[in-house]
Amino acid sequence: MSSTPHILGIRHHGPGSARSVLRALDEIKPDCVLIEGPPDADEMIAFAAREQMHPPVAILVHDVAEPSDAVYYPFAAFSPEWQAIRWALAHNVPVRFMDLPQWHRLAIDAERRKKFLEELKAAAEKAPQQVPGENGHAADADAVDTESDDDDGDDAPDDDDAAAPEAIPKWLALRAEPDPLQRLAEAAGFDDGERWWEHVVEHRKDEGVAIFAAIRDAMAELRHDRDVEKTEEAGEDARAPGGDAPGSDVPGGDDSGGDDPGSAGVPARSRDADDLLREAWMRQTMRDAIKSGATNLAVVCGAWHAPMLDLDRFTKKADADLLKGLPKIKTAATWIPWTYDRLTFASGYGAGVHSPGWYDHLWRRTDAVLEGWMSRVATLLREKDIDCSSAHVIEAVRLSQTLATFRGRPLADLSDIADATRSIFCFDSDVAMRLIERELLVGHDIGAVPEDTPMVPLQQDLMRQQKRLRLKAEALEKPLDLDLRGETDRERSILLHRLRLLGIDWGTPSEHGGGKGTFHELWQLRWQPEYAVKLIEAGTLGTTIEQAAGASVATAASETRDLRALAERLQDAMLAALGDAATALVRQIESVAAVATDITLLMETLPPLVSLVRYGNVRQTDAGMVREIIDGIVPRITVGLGGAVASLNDDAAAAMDGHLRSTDGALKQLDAADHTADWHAALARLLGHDTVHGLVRGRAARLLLDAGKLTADDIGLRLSQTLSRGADPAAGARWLEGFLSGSGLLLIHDPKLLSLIDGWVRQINPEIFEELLPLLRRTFTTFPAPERKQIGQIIAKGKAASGSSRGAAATSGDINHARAARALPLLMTILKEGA
Amino acid sequence: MSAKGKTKSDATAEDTATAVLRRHAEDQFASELAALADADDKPRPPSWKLSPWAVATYVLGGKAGGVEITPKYIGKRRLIEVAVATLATDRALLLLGVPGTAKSWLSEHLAAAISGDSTQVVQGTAGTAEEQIRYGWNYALLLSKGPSRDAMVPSPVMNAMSTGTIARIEELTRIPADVQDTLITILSEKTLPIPELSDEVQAAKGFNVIATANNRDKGVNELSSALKRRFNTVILPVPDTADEEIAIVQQRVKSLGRALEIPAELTGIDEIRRVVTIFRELRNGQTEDGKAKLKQSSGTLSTAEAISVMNNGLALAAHFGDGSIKAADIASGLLGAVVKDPVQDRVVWQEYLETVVKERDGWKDLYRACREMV
Repeated sequence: MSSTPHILGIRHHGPGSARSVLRALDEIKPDCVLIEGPPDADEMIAFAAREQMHPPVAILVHDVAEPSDAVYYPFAAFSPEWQAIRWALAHNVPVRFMDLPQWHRLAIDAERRKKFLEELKAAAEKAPQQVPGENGHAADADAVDTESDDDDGDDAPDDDDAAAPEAIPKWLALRAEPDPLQRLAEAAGFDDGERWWEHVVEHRKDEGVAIFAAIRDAMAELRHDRDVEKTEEAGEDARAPGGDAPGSDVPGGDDSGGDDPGSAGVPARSRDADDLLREAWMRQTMRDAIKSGATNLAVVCGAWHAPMLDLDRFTKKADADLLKGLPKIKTAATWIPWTYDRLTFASGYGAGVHSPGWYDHLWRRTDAVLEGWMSRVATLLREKDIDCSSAHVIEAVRLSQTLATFRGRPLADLSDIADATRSIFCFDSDVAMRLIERELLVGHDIGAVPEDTPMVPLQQDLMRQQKRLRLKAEALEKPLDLDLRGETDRERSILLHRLRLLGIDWGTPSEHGGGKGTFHELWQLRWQPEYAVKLIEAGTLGTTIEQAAGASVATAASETRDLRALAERLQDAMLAALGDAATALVRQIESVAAVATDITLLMETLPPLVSLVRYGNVRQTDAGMVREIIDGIVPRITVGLGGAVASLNDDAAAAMDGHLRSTDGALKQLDAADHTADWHAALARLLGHDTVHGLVRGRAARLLLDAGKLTADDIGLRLSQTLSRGADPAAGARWLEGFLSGSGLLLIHDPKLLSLIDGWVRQINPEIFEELLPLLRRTFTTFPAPERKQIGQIIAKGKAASGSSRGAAATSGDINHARAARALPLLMTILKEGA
Repeated sequence: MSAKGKTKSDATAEDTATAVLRRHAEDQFASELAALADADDKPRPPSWKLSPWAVATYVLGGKAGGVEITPKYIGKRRLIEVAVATLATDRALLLLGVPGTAKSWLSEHLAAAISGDSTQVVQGTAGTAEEQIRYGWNYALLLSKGPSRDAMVPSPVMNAMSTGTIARIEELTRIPADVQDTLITILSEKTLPIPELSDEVQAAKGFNVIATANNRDKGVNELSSALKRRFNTVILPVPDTADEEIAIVQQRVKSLGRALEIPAELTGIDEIRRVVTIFRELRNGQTEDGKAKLKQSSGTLSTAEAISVMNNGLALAAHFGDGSIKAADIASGLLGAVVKDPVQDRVVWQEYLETVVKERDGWKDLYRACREMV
């Protein structure tokens, strides 16, 4: 004969609940355990007992057709559900999930969203100025939030369109109503429901099962109160969007009998409708379990649902009717590693807890909780070189207890502990407090799942590569310095780049920290649990990360006609060593460049293409094909250059200056005589045009001088022309900037140029000089300090010699030849050996 | 702020003590303390006159029996709870804050509520010597009778130890470091050795120390870590919101006005609001609506100074004006409070006048009054 099922109403992620559940299970010795969770993942339950499984982990349920439609069920070691699963597995008791399956819930949500969008569109047509079409998406998100909030702070945040770029993933962004037990705790004067539970429940060690009956009664009372409130505001609620969604087969709810407190009001909100459906499903699962032979059933569910799981109050038929005809999709489930950070409210997880680290502590320690915590604080602060002694710990414990008494609580609450910590350890400063919050209250723990957990091939590929390259996924932000000369580091770099192409920013490249070496690559690594979904999404693109990244680049390439974006993509593809994708990009660039009119864009595109040819970073790219593109682009640049540089303002000229330099650099690398000649000719044409900005002309002159196309005498002539009394001094200063900026070596070695400039500066009248000073200063500060010093010395010397043109070279006259000759034999020996 | 209850209950005490410029907290609020003691049924720590709850009520305001308790400190409840709990755990309390954040005020009231005596004070200065913290000698007696307890001149701290009451140390960080350290034994072992007599004074239960220190001044003597460790620290912040600050100024100006027998009535909170707004804006370096950045003046511009500006204005209005406070009455006080450095602050003040005060609706009179002063 079967006994009444034992309903264990718990607090999600409550260590106290977890302990009570374990105690109750030991007492009940059930022959079947049902747990509030998605039946989609029934087959996954067995993995929980595996040795390699380390919480925090989450069950991920996603729509097979639309993987971004996903829902997470996180578990920490202190989650009662987790402990119940482990208990059942350890005692060989059948254990199943009993919540309304996501194969229905996701489908319901999708239909609701669709319906709401339609309503929105209809509304937009009526009042177009209010809701423009693009806003439909944002509004949609809000609507889904309000719809899918779970009453009991369920750990099943419903997913929203994950494509929206936002700091907090949308699927997490939902507000749950305060945990019902939290409400009871607050009524009792506690801030933290856990401490209340500890006080009310934990300290009565004798009562195992009985306490859950009391919780059920309390919840029945709470739900009743809420239903009364709800009835009062029902009129308003009836207008809520999605209220008559297909899932809310509401009239059916009334069938379940007048004694159902849940149907006392009109459950207008879909949330309430959800609850009715979910609880009906739970009851049906319980009936199934009993039918299949369970005589002593234990049910672990959110306390909120506890009063509704009384099988005698609802008929099987009514529940079956309610669940009839729900929409259905195909879902898949798996385990993924989770982090404590993602368990917090702050991360946007509606059923989160304020401080997972604290709960973890409560779970691990049953005695001397406060003392243990304060010593951990002290240890942490000592690690950070903040002095604190055992005396501090003692005083902190005393103060927290006194504060608790003072505030009328039998046990020190988290807020008492925080206040005591502040006053005693931190000298009332925020800095140390923040450290404690980050390190202890939240914690950096990241979970792990067994290798043979069912995953999409892409996840498996990543796991293999992580293992091979010894790159561990960690929740804490961590720098990584890769030396690209090494095989492993290069492959790590390629992996990170490929993941970035898939939208998984596990690593973000950081700026070079002053190091000059180009074979070093600096990354900041930080793993976020939701990357798992991105991987599943990307699973449609290929079975390995290489394939998927390549496919994603290729798709992006075919969609854009922006030359710059394409060139950037090409660089990405090169860094990620994606040969085929690069080929596709090159083709696309070719077709776009052929019709491009913007010379600047072409100039920007050139350098990556040239380095592609020059260094052959991409193994499988046909270098000849890239070369063809370059051969097409360079003439366009040289021809169009004159027009592109005409009539530029200062900012545009500064940008053009950069383009000239990079293009020149690229052509030097390319080392193709015909292109270089064309380029130089184009530059030479700029020199004489007064309409061209001074900066650009100066730069052109410098590039030509460096290339040996102009002699120092030519430059002297240009310089004196530009700087002559009749010309605009401002333009002269810009010319100088373009000509000189970056290096002053030229002036050191060519005293003639220097004296020209020196003479020009001297003849400018004082007012204009004041105007030009910032410009000149800007130019000269780009020189390295030793060069500036040398120039200064030369000018000072020149002045001393009253205008004689003795330059730096003139000092060599003082060499003692006899002494210098003595070093020659040794030098000869060295040189010979070198050869 | 309902000062009504207080006016009535304090009326008799006020008549007898008219000769004193400022009365001790325990005298001024004797009736409130008595009412609290009557209504207080919670356990009291040894030698405390009130339970910790009643102390908190005394400081933060509330009701005791039928008597309205005026709030003495307007601010975060948390701070007061930590302060009182600290004293209840017989740890010494260190109140930190910029000048004018009611550190001494709070310490006085805590001492008054806990021990019924706020007069055991050591004012810390650069010249504070060990004798002022431990004990001195009556040299006439010392010479005539030799060393004995009779020849000793006890310090406030020593007195507090023997009576089990609260000793207050003002401006702890101004006291030279070597003198500060004499507190270490007193605080940790709760005993004051008298080597001359091979004797000691052991603190009676209820003894504790409330120290105040300024965390803004430079050139002060930082506490040694040994001493720091013996204090629980509470930082008193400047008021969070303008309304909070206005309430503080209003209440204090009212009670000060009465003590100084200034006949003028504070007409409304409008003038207070203006002064507080100016202070807050110049202190925070931006306007209250956050739209404009301002230069900050070198003065601290604390709430206490706002109170004195209002008081000053009140006196001016009473003696030279028509009794109700006008813009001109507060202008000179404002100038004095803001312009501490004659060159830099004058620029700050003038800029503020021209860019903010001039533009603000209904502030024309204040602008004109201030312009005349500058």
